[in-house]
Amino acid sequence: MTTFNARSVTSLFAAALLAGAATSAFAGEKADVIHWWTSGSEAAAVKVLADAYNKAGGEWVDAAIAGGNGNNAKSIGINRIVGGNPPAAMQIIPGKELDEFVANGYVRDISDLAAAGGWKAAIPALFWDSITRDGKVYGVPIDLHGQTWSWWSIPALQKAGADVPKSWDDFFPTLDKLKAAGIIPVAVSRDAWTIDSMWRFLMISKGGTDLFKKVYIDRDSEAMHSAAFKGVVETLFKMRDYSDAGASARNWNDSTALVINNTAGVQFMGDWAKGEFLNAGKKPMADFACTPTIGANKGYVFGGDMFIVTATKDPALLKAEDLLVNTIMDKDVQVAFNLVKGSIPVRGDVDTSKVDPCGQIGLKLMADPANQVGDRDFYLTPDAIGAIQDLLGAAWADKTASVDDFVGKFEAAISTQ
Amino acid sequence: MARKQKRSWGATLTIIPFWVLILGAYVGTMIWTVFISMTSSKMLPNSTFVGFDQYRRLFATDRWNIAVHNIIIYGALLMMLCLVIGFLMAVMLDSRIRAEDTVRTIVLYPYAMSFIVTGLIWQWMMNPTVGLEKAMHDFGWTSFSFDWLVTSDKAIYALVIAGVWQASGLITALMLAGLRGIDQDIWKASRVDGIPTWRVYFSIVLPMMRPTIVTAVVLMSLSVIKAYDLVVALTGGGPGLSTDVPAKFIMDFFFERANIGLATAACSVLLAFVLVFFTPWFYFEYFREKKGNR
Repeated sequence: MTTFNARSVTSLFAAALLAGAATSAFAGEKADVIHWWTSGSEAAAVKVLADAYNKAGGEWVDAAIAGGNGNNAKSIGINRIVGGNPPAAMQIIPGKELDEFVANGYVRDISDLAAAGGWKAAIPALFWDSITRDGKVYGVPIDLHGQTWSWWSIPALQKAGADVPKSWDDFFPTLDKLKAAGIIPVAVSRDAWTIDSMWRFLMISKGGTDLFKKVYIDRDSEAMHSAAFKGVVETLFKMRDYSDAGASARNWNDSTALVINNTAGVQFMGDWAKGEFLNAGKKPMADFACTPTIGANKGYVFGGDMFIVTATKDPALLKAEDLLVNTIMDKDVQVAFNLVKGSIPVRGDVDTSKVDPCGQIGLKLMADPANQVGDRDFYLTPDAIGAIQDLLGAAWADKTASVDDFVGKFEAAISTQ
Repeated sequence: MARKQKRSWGATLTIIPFWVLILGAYVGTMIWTVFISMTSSKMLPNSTFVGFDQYRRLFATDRWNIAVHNIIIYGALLMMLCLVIGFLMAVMLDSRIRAEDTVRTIVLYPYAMSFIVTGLIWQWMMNPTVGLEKAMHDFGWTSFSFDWLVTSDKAIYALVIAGVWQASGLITALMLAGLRGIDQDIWKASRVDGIPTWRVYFSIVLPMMRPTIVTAVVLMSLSVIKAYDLVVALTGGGPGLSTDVPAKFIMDFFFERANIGLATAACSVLLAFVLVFFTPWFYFEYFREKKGNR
């Protein structure tokens, strides 16, 4: 022990420091990425991305932050940016969120990379708009999610002697048959955003793309007072009678489980519910049916995920960011990532033959720009979206709410700045 | 007066870190919060001054008014029930029952549990499709109905039940300590005078326990003001907005709704509420005696 004197400790430290400096100089470009993909399939998808980045010569530093719909991750990212220690990249939802980051100069303009990668021709026009501000590109899109699907239990329908409704005339009779067979017709959960999912399903599928766009993009007062809009509201109100008493004490995935084990007939939810079905070993179109629309209307409400990269002058970080952006937008990476995650690639110029049957329906609808409808996040502030959810949650719980009252409150909520 | 002028610099230096901490961490953040509430801050804090606009919007927001209404119902019922139950249980424990330690442990046990666990347990118990109601139906009592948790106008009382279950043990322990602190001579004297026991409790013991009761009310009012976890775990604020509380309103607007301005305005209103109502009362209850004695 006597040999372990002060000098040798110092030299040990020096060696360790040198070694540390050496590894950081010779290893790939480091990029810490904040995201909220922490569930089973999500984490596996992130691994695909990280592996691709490491293989391309970078060093992925994972900053996964758990917590529903990314609020925790976003607040940590914002804190780090405001505190002067920004991550190389962070995940955000495409839409209004980007505005403030850009206005404050926190996000890097990556127009050159987008031009070199031919993004504009490869991704849906709406998504292109959502990553650009004043003609400059600020976001890196990674996946597309269908936000408004209906998931039907085929055994439950068979037990009730019914089929997936083909038109709105069949809709309530089908629910009645399910009810008569002792099955919960509609699996609803307690969170207001799940009511919002159901609401937007009705808006796009019963109201149609035009009405959806007039209401959500133009915030057209006339459209909100139209008979068509009121019809959607009435349908939503009518569906309250097809839920069960336990609904307001359930999470969204517990409701999905009810459909998976055939206790409930249908759930209205985004395509992340598909992950639950597949995890439970259920086969699309054999054990469960998926349909984004009922009836003649063919709209596909999509959202997605994107990354922003931090504005910096540090050449090492710039290099790391370049590599990261190009990795995310790489055709093979897009396919591999989205296969694992259950979403569909943002790039339209990739091989999608391996996408599952539900995803194929989505791809087919997305192929026609007339069907493409961006989700509310593209046009509304989080504040307005929250106000609408408060309204929907309250109206769902309060069976005395009148349609006209709802319309008035909806118009006020959607105008929240 | 001569002693006061002679300062001990050592003591002053020692106290400086505390002043820095108090001014920086407490007063500083309060001032920052009030300042931000006067700006147009949305997702990121900015310094565009908008005066009282955020407050105007806050008071015009249905949800805020529901939340304030709910916290008043919840707070009043919780405190009343906890005080009554706590006192009765303490009296019971104080009457030298057998296995007092065991009973005390059982009574205190809920308090050792987090609000999240409490919320989940009661969510299962009160959920009509899996909980108590289903159990009763399975036993054959099919007319039994207990659906407060999922009924808009009763869900707040479901919250009170869970809150009382969680907090009454602590209040019992406090009350028991208070009862044990009463001079035994009072009991002897009252027995000699032939005063009925309930009368002694009501007219003599309770007034003597004022400091204990005040402490209990202070502890409970603090937990009411910051009530959040229990609501999130038990009802998520629902059905609809029927169990929303100010703390949940604030958290939602801070993080989910990206409206820091409105959230800090709500924080400032809560702060003002505490400053206007609670602080003078705390001060009065805790410090008046000492001032008088001096």
